Amino acid sequence: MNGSTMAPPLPGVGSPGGFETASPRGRSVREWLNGPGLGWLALIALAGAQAFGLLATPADRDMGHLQKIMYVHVPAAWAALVAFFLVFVWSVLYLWRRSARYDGLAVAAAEAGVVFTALTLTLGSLWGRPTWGVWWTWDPRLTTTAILLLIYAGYLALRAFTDEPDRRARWSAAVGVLGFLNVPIVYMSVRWWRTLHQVQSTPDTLEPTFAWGLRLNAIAFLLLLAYFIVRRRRVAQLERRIDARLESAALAGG
Amino acid sequence: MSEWGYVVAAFGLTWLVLLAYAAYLWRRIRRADALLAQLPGAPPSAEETLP
Repeated sequence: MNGSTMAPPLPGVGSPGGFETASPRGRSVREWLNGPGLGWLALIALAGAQAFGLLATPADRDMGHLQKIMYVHVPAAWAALVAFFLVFVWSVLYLWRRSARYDGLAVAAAEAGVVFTALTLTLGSLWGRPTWGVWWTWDPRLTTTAILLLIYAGYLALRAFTDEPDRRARWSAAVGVLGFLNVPIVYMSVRWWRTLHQVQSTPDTLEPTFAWGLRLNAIAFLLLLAYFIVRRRRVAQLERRIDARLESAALAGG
Repeated sequence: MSEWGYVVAAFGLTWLVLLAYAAYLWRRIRRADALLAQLPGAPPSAEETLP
């Protein structure tokens, strides 16, 4: 089957691209990102990694099969932290360069980060109920992660309530930089305050099969993060074009 | 709920959330594309208006 005739693996994956710059020298990285390739890759990687985690890894000695939730919970958390790091980087670049490009990238990463953080908390809750006996507890890791979610939900709300594009970009870049201060706190919370949530596992403390399950799922989640950022950035580009057209039409009419 | 019940719920929820977000982005792009197509184009440039 020809790739160009296949149905898109994820909605919209085959629609016109998220990056408007096309290289005249054939298929550039940007063209590849705009096409169906990234969506297909993310989907196949996710299906393969989850199948590996579910079927090829043994049951944990203490938690039994419940440990398999780790293969979605931990990569979702990593994807969220990477997304917020990208928000920080692109926010700094926006404040430095004042380019709408970085603003579009920052909001794309922030929205994806919120999705992954909400998913992390929900999956943690599903894991916590049978292992800790509760759906939720005010454990420092859970609490700081919930605060992280609120900070970036606030970032998105701030954008929704600010009409003027430059001011919206400036304010949200400031929140994107300051909000990142919570990320190291989330990461270190399990070491600073030892309570219910376990500390991070390392390849030394994990059975190699478990580590591979985690690695493969982490790759799949990072591909999905990249896909979401490309698509969400496309939304930001289109919205900017719509605003510019409306402004031109208003000026021409007035 | 059994151990496998929680595992299946977690993996199912993951797919549901990720596909729902992808669909949401797809709808936003499609809507914005349609709106952009309906709007009048940018005013002609200076070169285009030359006799």
